[in-house]
Amino acid sequence: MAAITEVLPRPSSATAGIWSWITTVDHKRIGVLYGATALIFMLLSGIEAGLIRMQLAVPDSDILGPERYNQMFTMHATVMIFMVIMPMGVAFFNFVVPLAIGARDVAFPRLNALSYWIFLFGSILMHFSFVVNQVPDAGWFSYANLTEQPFSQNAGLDFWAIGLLILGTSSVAGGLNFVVTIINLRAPGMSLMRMPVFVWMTLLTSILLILAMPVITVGLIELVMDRNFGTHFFIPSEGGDPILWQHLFWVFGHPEVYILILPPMGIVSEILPTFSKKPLFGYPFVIFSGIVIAIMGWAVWSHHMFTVGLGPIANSVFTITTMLIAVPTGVKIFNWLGTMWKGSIELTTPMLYALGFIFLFIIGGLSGVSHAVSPSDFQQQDTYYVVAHLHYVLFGGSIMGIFAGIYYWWPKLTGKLLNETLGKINFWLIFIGMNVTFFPMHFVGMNGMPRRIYTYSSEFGWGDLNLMASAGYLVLFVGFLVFLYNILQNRNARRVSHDPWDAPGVEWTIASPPPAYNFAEVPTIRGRDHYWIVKDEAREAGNPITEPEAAVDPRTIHMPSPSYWPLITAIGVGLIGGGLLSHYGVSFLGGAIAFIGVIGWSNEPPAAEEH
Amino acid sequence: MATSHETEHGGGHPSLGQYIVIAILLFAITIVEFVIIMDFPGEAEKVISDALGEPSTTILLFVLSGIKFAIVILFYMHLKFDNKFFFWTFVAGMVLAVMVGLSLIGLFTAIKGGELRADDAFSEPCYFDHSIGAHGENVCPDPVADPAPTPAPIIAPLAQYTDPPARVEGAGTEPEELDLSVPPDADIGFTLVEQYGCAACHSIDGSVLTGPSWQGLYGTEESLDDGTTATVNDEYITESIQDPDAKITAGFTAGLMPATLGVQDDEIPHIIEYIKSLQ
Amino acid sequence: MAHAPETAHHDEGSHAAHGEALTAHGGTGHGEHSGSVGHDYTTTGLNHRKMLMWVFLGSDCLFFGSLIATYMVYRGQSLQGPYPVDIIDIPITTISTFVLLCSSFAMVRALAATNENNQTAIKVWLLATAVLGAIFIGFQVYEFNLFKEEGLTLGQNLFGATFFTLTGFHGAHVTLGIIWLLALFVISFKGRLHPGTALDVEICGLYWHFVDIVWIVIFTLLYLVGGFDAGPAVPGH
Repeated sequence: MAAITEVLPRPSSATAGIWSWITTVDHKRIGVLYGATALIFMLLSGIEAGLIRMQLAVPDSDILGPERYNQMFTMHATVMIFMVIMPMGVAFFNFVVPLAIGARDVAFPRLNALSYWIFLFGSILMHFSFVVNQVPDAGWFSYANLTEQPFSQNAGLDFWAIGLLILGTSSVAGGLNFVVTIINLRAPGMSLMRMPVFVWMTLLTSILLILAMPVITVGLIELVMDRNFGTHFFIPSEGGDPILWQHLFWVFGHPEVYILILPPMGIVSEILPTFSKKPLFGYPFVIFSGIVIAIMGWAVWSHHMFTVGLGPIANSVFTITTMLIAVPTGVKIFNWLGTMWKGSIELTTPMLYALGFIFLFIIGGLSGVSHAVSPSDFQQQDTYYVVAHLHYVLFGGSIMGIFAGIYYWWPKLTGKLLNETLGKINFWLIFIGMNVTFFPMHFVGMNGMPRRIYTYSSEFGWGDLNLMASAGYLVLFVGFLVFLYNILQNRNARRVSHDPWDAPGVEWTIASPPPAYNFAEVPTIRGRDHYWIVKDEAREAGNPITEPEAAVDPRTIHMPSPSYWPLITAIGVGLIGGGLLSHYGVSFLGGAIAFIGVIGWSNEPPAAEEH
Repeated sequence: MATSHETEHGGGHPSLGQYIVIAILLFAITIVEFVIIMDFPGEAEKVISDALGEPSTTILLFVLSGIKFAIVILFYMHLKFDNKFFFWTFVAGMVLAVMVGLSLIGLFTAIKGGELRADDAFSEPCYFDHSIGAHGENVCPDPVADPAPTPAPIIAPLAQYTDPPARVEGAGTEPEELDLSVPPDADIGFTLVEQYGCAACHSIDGSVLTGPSWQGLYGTEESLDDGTTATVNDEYITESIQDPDAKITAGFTAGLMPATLGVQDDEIPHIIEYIKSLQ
Repeated sequence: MAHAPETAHHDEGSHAAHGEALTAHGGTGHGEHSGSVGHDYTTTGLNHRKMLMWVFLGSDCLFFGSLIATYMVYRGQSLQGPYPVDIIDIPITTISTFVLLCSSFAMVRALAATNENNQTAIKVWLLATAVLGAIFIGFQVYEFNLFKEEGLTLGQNLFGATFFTLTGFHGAHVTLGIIWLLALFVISFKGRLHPGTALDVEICGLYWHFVDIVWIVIFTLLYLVGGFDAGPAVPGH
């Protein structure tokens, strides 16, 4: 080990090969790994959604049967939330944040790699439940006491709980990393109030992650102990209380909702100014409303539990806080509209997605306010109206924002634009498909269709609208295939300049794709819209900028060397979880491997440092 | 660069002497807490905690522990001297944890503390249309004629946490108003025995439950688990109610009968009279 | 094995603390590697790893906060004994609390010794801290065994479930801290602890003191205040 005292040049991004990806600690590559993994899970989870819609398309259908149906809606939601939207957010954090704050990497590159590998193994572990055909089937919030042994006798819920514990570990590690990165690695001149909105939202999301994850960790530990070690935390016959699970889940679950929506809000706040050619309207308001959302997100959780019977006082308090939290959200929407007002709007694909985000998120927000009012919620609780609402905010909001981000930053990642025509077809298919699928759910919900029923009688008259929703799914699916095709054909596309959108962000000053070291010279940030200021000055000086920052020999900038210890440690962590599900001996093996990983990790010299 | 490093480490650390003072302070507070909560050697009563009463003792213990907590984070973890960022990072997490915890306790006490607010509101459908009452169905209580009882606070005062919250099942049994000033009366005693639920452990037909049966108990000679015997008389029963573990009948387990039943002194003679009647 | 996920959770902390911190703007002049540990430029002037540990401790507050909230919510809700009043032994636990407080004192001495580069004192105090922590764990093992003999198990009642879960996870934290201290003890023999690397000791110390303050809270709530709890107070139950 001590022999490695010389500068270790990091393998440049040109060095391909699977080993370079496995040992990578480069934030850009880890971002790509996160994004690619999340896309695969999106496809899986989308197929699960397709099976759900197939089952529900016509009344009295028995294609899937109740057991499979329960498994499908449980895994669809769990996967979409924990393995698609969250890691997609993290993919953007990884790829964009260091570039946008003028840093060469995140603060803890190896911890970053560890987060990814733990996420991957946790996800695989949970999907292993399909292999042994003991699939979780209690819904994504897995209310006790459905999840207790007498009602759920196979290992499905253990897969679910232990899988989520592992994913939570990954999220906390990632959250810690990004908090430190954003606070501590900003380039000179990048004060907090000059940070791009996306970076702000990343910071807030990371803080929410590290504070909310421990709460669900405790709930999951108690669930695992109930199921495996004979405790009675949530079993009423022994004095336990299933409501405690609901509280622990939603104390985490509501901040989680903002974990899912704040990053797309940040993405949209980057895209709208770029394509309106105007700075973001009311930047401080957007930031402070984000902060207020992150704080108030802790005071609204019981609005998920209005019908539990907390009593009128608790319900009133949570009604009021919930209605209040709509205010900062509304503030953001007005700021986005104000940004576009009198701007020279360019309807590129990312912009279309951003507009789609605003449009659909407003609809989702309005239906959200309608069940913020607890008396009204008594009518809507557990109906398809709630399903419509959550898909408008999570699909219409988060996923649209994520697509916007992919189209926006793709040229920075590859140096090539995604095809705009395909992109627009992609957008309209998704946008129309999304509305055809989920808008009718408002009506079937108000007509009384409960969620999570595997079929319904034709007498209820829900058949036509359900058929419409299922047809909408097909449109969505085709839209997603167009997107995949657009990505796959991209290798043949023409290279574009380093700054194809004439964007204001720091990340656009460097070459596309960025060199491993990101910035040859760490930039000094001039203002909120740094690159616009720089470009304007150059243009006025009669010397417009057309080239990115010049490349340098990568060996002159020391970067952390690749490392396989994160992978080994993550394998250990995965085995600990796997052992809990199979044989405790495997857990001890995993613990030993993780221990070896940590020892190796701490003895690995940071590339250019030797004491 | 170097200066920022120095502000992080420089100068702020307490000296060895200060550390020793801090350590002694921490030990001293722990001893004080111990003395407050435990019996003095040789004395049967908890002098201090009884004198203070339960809520004050609890608050005092919280304050003392809070001081210890603060001393450790401010000096041992040198938050007092370190960058304010660290201070606020930690305090934010701590305050959030405390608030979430208190909210949860509040929400559960509101439900479980015998003040079933949800039940009050939703168990009986109540229509504000008085014409329904004319058809013999639900009628709302007339708010003017019989005003609703003052609602209990939804978040119980601290004192309530120090007692185990009453269970939901107990919510319905409201004690009747009894005139206790009359001479000892077996009927009143029976009512009290029902209220306190004594019969759950003490039978009146000679069968052995968790506690000794009361049938023919009064006046007999009981053998105790320490080998001695005692006569069941007024003093014995009074002591058994007020301090259940003082004497334990052979064959029974100590610690099962709660001393916290809340039986009042002026109620005991009636209960004794009732037990006497079970010959 | 119930602790396994949590152990994993905490591996992060130690990784990060041992891991490299990217010296982002360290060499703005190309090829400059002059920065020794702790002299790297960061935006706030604060060290990455120390910041990571503090943010992590803020996160851990929520972890123990939730466990303690579970305990408090279920206080006095056990349907059958043994109840705290039957088995909680305050004198013994006061002694183990003393031991843990002593270990915190030893920890600050270890850090001071590192800053003064007193190699013998570093080793002595680090080992003292770890041994005192181990004695605390010994007390806990003794207590758990005693409770088990008295009939209190995870499944016996809610008191057992909440008590063992909360104190068990605290014990897991202490155990991890001991392993960390021993790791520092081992590397101190290679001369790797000196004023330049005092941060390694300081961060471990932050973790250790945090475990100590969590115990202060647990000792107050579970022993001093809750140690006299009996069963359900409602008659007839």
